[in-house]
Amino acid sequence: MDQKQVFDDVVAILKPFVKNPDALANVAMETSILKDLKVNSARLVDVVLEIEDKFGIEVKDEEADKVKTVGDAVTLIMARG
Amino acid sequence: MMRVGNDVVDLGDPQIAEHHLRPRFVARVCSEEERGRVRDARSLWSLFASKEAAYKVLMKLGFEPGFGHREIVVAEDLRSVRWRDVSLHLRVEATDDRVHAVAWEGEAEPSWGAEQTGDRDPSAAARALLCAALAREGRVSMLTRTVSVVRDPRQGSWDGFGPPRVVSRGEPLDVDVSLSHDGRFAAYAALAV
Repeated sequence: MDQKQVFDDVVAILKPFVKNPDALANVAMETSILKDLKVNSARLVDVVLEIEDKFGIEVKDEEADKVKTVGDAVTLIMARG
Repeated sequence: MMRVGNDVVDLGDPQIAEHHLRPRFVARVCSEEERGRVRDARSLWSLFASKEAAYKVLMKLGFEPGFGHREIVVAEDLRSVRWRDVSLHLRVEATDDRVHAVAWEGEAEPSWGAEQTGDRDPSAAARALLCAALAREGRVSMLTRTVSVVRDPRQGSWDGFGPPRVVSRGEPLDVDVSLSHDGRFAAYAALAV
């Protein structure tokens, strides 16, 4: 998988749940999903489910727990590629 | 150690209106036994808010429940919540508009409340609600400007800060607090320690 494409796909998944659109304008691998984008915890479950659907993978609870940044999500997905 | 956590969910958010009809979401969040109790949005989000409130208490107690919503199990009567061998008290107030859940450890009853934020910043609204409640309860001067809610830096937390605590005239109050907001609502819980 192409990392840039995965990054763009992850950002597209996050976009409907982002409470801070200004942060989305400058989103990077280091951007925190909760702190910077202000995605709340319920929406984080939606994000995990959409990642599973989009990339055809299973994200275990302990793996989801380690996803703090956009880059963490990209790395998790790439590792399954 | 007496600790309290709370969580409010705005049921008017169209993004969450039909999650109770999504089996994968319900299965991801609820234990097998809890799934049978999910009848509508209110029942699902009552469970979710209860788990979030319990999560906050568990974190304060030094546990790390992580992303395991299913492992935090809410009693059918919504009066207690359990994670592994830790049992917490629970109260849930559900209206047509919102769900507010409060979990705590200890025998004393916390005070708690939720209200609409209007045009205010939701975090500021939650802090103001807490300060007004503390003043009503006589814990602080009616001059709420003498009270501040602070969060200390904490490495590894989701936003780099620990849970909120209340300071009055530079001195910490003997009360554990929890703040939350979602959509149109802000909420607080406070427990004397």
